[in-house]
Amino acid sequence: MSNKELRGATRRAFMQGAVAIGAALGWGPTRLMDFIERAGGFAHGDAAHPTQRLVVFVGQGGAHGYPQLLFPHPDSFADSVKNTTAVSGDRYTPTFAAHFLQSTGGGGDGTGLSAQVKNTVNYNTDPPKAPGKNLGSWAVGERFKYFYGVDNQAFRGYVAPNAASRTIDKKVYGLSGNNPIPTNVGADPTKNFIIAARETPWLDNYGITKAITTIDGGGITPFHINGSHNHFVNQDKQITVCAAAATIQSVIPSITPVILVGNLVGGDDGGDATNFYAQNRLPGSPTPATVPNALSMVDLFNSNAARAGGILSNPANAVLFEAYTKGLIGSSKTATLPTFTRGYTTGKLAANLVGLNLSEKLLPTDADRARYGVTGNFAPKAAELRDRMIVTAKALKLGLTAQVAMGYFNDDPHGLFLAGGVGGINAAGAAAIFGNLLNAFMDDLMSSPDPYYPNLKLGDNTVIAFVGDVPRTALNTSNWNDPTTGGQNRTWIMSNGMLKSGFFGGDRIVPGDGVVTNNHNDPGPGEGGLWDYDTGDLIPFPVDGSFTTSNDGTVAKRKAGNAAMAAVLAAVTRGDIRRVNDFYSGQAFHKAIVKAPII
Amino acid sequence: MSKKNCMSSRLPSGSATLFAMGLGALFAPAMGCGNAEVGAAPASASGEGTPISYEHAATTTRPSLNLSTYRYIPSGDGLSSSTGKVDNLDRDVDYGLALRTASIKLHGDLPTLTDIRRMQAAVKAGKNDSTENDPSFVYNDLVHTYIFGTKDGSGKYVTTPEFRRQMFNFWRNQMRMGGTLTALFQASMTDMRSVSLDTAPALAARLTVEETDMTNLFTQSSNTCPTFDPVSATFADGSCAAKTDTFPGNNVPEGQQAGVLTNPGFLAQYYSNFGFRRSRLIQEVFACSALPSEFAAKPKQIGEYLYSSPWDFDSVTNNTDGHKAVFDAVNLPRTARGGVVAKNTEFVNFRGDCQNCHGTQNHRAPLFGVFDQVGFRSPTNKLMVTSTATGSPFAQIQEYQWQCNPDPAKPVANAVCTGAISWKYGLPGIDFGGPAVPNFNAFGKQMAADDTTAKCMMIRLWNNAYSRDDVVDQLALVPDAVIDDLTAYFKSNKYNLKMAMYKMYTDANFIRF
Amino acid sequence: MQKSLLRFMGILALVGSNGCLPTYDPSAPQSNLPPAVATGPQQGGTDTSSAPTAVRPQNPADGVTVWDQSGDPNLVAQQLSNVGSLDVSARKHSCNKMKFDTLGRLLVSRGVDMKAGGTSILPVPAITDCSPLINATCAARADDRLSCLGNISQPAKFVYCDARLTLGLPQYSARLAEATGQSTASGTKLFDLFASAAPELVAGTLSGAGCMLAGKPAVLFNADNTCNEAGVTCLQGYPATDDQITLCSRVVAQAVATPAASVNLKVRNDDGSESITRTIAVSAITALETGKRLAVAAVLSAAHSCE
Repeated sequence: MSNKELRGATRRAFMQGAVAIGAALGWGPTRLMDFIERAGGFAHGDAAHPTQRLVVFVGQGGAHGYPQLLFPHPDSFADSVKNTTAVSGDRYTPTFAAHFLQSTGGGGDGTGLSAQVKNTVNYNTDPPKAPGKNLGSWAVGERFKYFYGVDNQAFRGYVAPNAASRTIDKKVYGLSGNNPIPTNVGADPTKNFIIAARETPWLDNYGITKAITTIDGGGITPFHINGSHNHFVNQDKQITVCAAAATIQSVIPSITPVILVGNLVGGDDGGDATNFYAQNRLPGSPTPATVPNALSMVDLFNSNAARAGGILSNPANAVLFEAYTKGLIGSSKTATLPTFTRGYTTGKLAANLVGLNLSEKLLPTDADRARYGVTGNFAPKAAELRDRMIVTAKALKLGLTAQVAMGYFNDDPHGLFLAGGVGGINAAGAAAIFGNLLNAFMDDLMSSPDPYYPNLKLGDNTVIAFVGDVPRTALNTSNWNDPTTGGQNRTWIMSNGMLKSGFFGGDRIVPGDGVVTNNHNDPGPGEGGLWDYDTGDLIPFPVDGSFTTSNDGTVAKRKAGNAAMAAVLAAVTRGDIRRVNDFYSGQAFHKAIVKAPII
Repeated sequence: MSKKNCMSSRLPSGSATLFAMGLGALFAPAMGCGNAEVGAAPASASGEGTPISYEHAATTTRPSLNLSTYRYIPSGDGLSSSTGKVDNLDRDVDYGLALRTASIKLHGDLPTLTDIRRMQAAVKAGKNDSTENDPSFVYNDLVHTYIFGTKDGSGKYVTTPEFRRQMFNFWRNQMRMGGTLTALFQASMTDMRSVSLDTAPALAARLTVEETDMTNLFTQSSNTCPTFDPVSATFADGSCAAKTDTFPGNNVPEGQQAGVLTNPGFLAQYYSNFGFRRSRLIQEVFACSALPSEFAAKPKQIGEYLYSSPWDFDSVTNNTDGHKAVFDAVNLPRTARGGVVAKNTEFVNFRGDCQNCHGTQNHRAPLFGVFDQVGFRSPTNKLMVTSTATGSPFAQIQEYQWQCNPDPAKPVANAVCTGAISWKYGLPGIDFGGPAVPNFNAFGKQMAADDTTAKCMMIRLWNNAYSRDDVVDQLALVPDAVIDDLTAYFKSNKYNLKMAMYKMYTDANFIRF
Repeated sequence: MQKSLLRFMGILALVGSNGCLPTYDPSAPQSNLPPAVATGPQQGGTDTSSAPTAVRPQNPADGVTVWDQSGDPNLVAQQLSNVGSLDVSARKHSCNKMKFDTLGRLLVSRGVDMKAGGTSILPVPAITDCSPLINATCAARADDRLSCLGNISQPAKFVYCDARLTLGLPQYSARLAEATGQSTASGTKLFDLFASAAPELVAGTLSGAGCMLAGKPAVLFNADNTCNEAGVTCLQGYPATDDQITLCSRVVAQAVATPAASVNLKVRNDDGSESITRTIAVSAITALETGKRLAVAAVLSAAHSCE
């Protein structure tokens, strides 16, 4: 469809979005038209099938375990009694790495941070009554809630080889003989559940469309890195979800298509943010802007010369500057030397950005920080994440970017489940911080239309994914060790209903299991598996622990990890599997995971 | 479930080959170096110790490159290292760009318009007659001025302030230090002292500027803490032993210093548990490769470990029989900062996979462990770096090397452990412990005699000249074929860095783009 | 030959354009020399040909060797695909960010004021107070200073000081060297700095010591408002080509005037509302003056993207 073929409401929506961006940036008509054309023309602005934006949280240096607090694996909580005020049930005990089951000594009292962090709770005593929306109010002593109606339950189809575990399954599911836990196929969703903590974001305000999809896959490796091991949509080719999504998102006009924040490093082998993104593995993907922190994010769009009296204050001159700077770079003798390419590519992007002065629109204010529920700089890592999220929300609202990948914390939190926690933040404190930040972030996005698809709220058109180097075991708080049951990684995705909600693969507590290891080549505690690409049922890990390091295990985890990232792309494209398969070449997974109509 | 802390039985496919190629670091630490032996016997106050976890976290360590045998194949790449003739019609030769980048690196600024015009005129004339009409002559002359300066009244070359500043900043960047650091003094919980982080770069810069043998960086025995005034761009003598109320110095007598190795600023900047960060930085900054840095001729399969270090297997402390750390809680209690006694016997289990790096580390780090957080040597040569044992007591030598376990029959507060230290395997061991000032200089001499350190200086110089990234952090590698001739030149000219610099910047390769 | 022609046509298109510029993005260099006759690979020894650098095609075995020895397949594969084998790439100049200190000296030597109260602010350490460097308008009052700084352009010395961390001031306290590569943020701020310095350079006619020739400053613009070769050469630090001078001159001709502006400065009240403290009138700048400033900024930005 050509530009001129766009008609009616779709065209109006498209133009409204583009004009809104232009107005925010003080553009004249020439630059606005150029902006539209650079986006790929009108045809791509088809609001009937909008492409989602993407925010990726990268848990650096072992910090990928934090999402376990907000989105705990539910299958340890499958219970015959379902007493949500108890710290133990048929299967779960306080050894499960959930803050809401902990005593003070286990990091269960977050109120030490109450002066700077809203909504902190002391789980050592009966947690107090609290109001709620979709989740209903919280009674005194209530530690968590079962949230029913999700699409997939990880351990369906499973027959536990461990006798004690099997006994619990029989009790909970009413099984007999060797019958497995009923399959996901045809299962009644009202019997599927996830666990909501008081701090679990989004469910309370927005309901099941913001429920999480959790997919196990990808590997963990021995050393922590400031990046991720599970962000590849094709790990063999080192094609990353960020580069692939950015390519897909090129239909969304933006100033800086991708921003990578926080000195991210490459997935398997180090390197810098360039390697994390791996643009070279996907020719045609847009160049990312790489910045170390929130302030530098603002600096991307904050030029002195674009202020009153500056030579770029007239947008027409900013265009001229960009064009001629690029022209002069191109005229230099070194322009075609491969060793200069990286620097000049960055320079050309900078030539565009320098015409912008949006600092006032992007800088976090005290009011923002209060709204995000984390004030002051008591813990620099929390303050920095807060500011990154605030600036990201503002940049998304202004249409400055289609994707942000931000690292966070980088603190290898082995001691989180101790009273003092890590860096002054324990499990309950961390849960409150993350819950506040993610809720406020979503509230921000839901308060504004998508600048390019104004018929949609921004929050309803933004996928959020959590990746990292290791998700840590959720099954034992002791030293909060790294190894998961099968050495598998985990991705949490908020897809805006494009993916089936619930958990795919994972692990759960086995009664009496005393495994405590931080050896990355040992199996972690519990029992678990990956997931069936057609049914979503559990594909168990071999009981001998070999899956952790065996070649078969490594390959299977890679495949599942690739599929998890392909699922992110499926969410970004709203079910366009053909587009996903431009980057993903593994086994079809959509039958199990994708909820959106396949196109 | 019983613990398996071993690796080789589950080595990733192909990892044996990688080990053989010097890639131990990809897997060795990866195997969970020194992980906890959960369920081990409860800690006792005395006797054989209890192995504990030592977790490498969030590291950015890169594997060793071990590029020494890399072969340069000149045919077909058009870039022969022996290129000699300069032809101003060669379109790859660009004296203008070369002068610009040389001026930025050596002079800290763009060339002046006067110099540019002089260069342009020579290029236009295009002669080959060693006059102002000869572009090679003019370019070399300008670079010579940048590096060596101009002659004074006595005919002696005097370097420019700009060059001196550039060298100071160059070495600050290579050593990643500058300014002042304030930290806890000795074992005190409250006594804060300061140390300059500029004297080590100043020493290196001064050696460079004054054309002194650069191996003095490791062996100079006195006057090793000069200062640099960035305004006047002048150096002033300074002793690392000098002390004031707030700056305690390094407590190493003049005459027994070892260049930057005993520089209190360097030691303070890289303080860490066991002093491993110090020894690691010495390896990375001055030998230009990450750990593991030593390799046997052939790796060996020892039990479940693929072992590539030349050090004897089990030469460092680990949790196998005969190799465990032993503690003497009565005569040699484990004290932490503030004098608190740590009543446990935990020690790090440097398993077989750990030993690929720690075979080297544990034979180096203790020497530098006697310096505290501000780089002040313990008067009794007690280790002032902390152990990772519970309570963070100051380390004891047997935590590195079981051979240094205390003799229960003859408890001595700081017994000499003979020959415990060396720069590399096979070199004479340097004693650790005892009341005398450790022989830091002997260690420095071992480094100075190692061609790796000379080559490393050339690599760092090369990467700076050619605007390349860091050789260790970003793997901006310089193969031997590229750097060997320069290294040889550097050595043959008594490690004169300015001469090597001049050769590098005037090389036919440098002027090509 | 065809590529050269296309590049030439690209320059012509730009030179002859009337403002529809943003899509011009040439990626090839200019050369006034005729293309050399390829003479094949060199066999070592002395370099006697004028042949362009013949990069040897990658032999897969080379890649494997490098791969194995470096142990970083991702990085090395990128290097191999982008810049050739290690032997070749190690010998090539590369593009690093201009060092922070160098940048300050560069500005001074071209004629930019980097003084506070008559004293040079260089070198700028991490603890520097940049407030004495803001312009008189914003310095006049403390209550609306933040609003003023966010809305009214400041001199280059303030930008240099205020953005020192983004521009690359080394963080030795974190045991980090100065970053070698250019990030998007540092690149953007670098160009911002040059754009902020341009008005001074135009007004001061390259009065810095580095641009003096026989005691006189290099001329930046000719009487007919075209760019002068000496001025562009001095800004770049290497001889300007005809193409570069032409491009520079076209910027001057194509710029539009910077209109006058009226800026309301605000303070935030205790209740969160804002009050206007004063209104600052910012003068218009003619198209010609704007063009000259833009030309200087573009020349500096392009030339110093790499050190």
